[in-house]
Amino acid sequence: MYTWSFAPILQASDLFLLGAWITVVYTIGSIALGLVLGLAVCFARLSGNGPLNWFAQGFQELFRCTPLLVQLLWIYYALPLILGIDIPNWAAAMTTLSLYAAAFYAEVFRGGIVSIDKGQSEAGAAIGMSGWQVMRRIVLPQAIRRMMPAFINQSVTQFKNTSLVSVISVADLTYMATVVNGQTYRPLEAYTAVAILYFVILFPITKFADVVERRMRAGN
Amino acid sequence: MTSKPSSTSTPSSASSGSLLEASGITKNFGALKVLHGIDLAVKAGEVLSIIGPSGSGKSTFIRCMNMLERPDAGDIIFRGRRVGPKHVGDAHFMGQGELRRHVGMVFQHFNLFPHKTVLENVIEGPVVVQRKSRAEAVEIAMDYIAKVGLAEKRDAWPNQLSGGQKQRVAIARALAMQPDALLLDEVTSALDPELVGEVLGVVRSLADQGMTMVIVTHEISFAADVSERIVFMEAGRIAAEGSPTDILRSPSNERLKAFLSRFHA
Repeated sequence: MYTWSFAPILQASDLFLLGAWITVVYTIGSIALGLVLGLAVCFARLSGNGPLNWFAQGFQELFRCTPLLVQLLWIYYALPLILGIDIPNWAAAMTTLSLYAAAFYAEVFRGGIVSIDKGQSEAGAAIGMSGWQVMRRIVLPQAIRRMMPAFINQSVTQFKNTSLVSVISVADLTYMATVVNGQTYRPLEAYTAVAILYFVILFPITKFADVVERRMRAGN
Repeated sequence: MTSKPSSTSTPSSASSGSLLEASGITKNFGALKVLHGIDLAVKAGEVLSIIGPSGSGKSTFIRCMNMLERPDAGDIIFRGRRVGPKHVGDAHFMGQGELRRHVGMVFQHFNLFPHKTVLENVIEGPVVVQRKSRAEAVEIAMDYIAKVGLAEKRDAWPNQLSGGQKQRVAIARALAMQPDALLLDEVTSALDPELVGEVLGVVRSLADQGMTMVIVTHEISFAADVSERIVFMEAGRIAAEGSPTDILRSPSNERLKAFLSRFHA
């Protein structure tokens, strides 16, 4: 019978906190970059420009139809060989996570925008608004409300997906479990502690997402 | 618009006296020919109704009049200026944005902005498009909101209004731009029967005040009552045109007779 002992784990709590911090940084960083890039991809899809749309769609499908772990390994190990440059692990991790997020966010944004009734943009146009004014003042405010639950959901997934960067030695929360395990030979406790930390951070966020969704439905 | 400037007669509102004019408007949706070269001129102060069976192209045509549908051929001419690619310094052309600032539109399904209150819906155009100060826009907006009888609803949200109230707000929103003409596209067709009257009442008072209007409607008797001229559209063409008396009392066209007989049943 295995006897649990969390005492050695608690002694390494500073490592876990550092790891959690790194995980948060990669999550927020890749969400921010993914948001900007995702918006660009979304507008490229909606632009009505053939080649631009084709390129954006190609990008999306490439990153949506291959596993994130494979993307991470490919960008860290294969891409530097092709380009003949050195890509540090933190840069490969941030780039991959951001591109992956962008591919999914773009679809969330696009879905939100096209779900807004065409009559809304026509009503804006009919009072003389420009295409950009219609997008910014009429379509986007409604679309953002509608895409919020899917956006939060995708961001929660993004937070958990950062755990994969540990395979290229980025010192995130999951990586720290490996480190602590090496020091203490307590793998069960180390991974349990990590699981608890992920949960403690994400649970309030998913609850918040539920509240947002309820309020949004009440608003419509 | 890509038509050659030389191919159509030089527009001169001075001689024709028309405020808004459609010339040879053709529109296809893919293989489907919806409009076969429509000519129609509306004078300032005139109220003109377009009637006709479903699918006759009347909604497509009125949407062409403010370029919400881009005609495949033909011109929309406002005060003698052709709507098309804007040439800086060329007084013969105007952009579609400028056209829409002068020609308002009210839709069948209201299309109020659901994330804005009644007042915000109505000041949107004056503030964002005409760049009026908020205070001035509110003053103008409240004037029209009161005219359509909804002053006490100024801070209500669209989803708190009945269909008839929504449509009256939509009319106020169009009027707040202080347009020279108003296009009404089946503005009572989506309303419960008991709410039709309040919207028609507002339209009638606009007619009484001399607002230039083009009205696409299925309310034949209202059209007869409020219009100086009625146009009957059939299969993408103007099949008959004349005063309400000509059109309704002594229809010469067989298809028009058949169309009208359904309303007298």
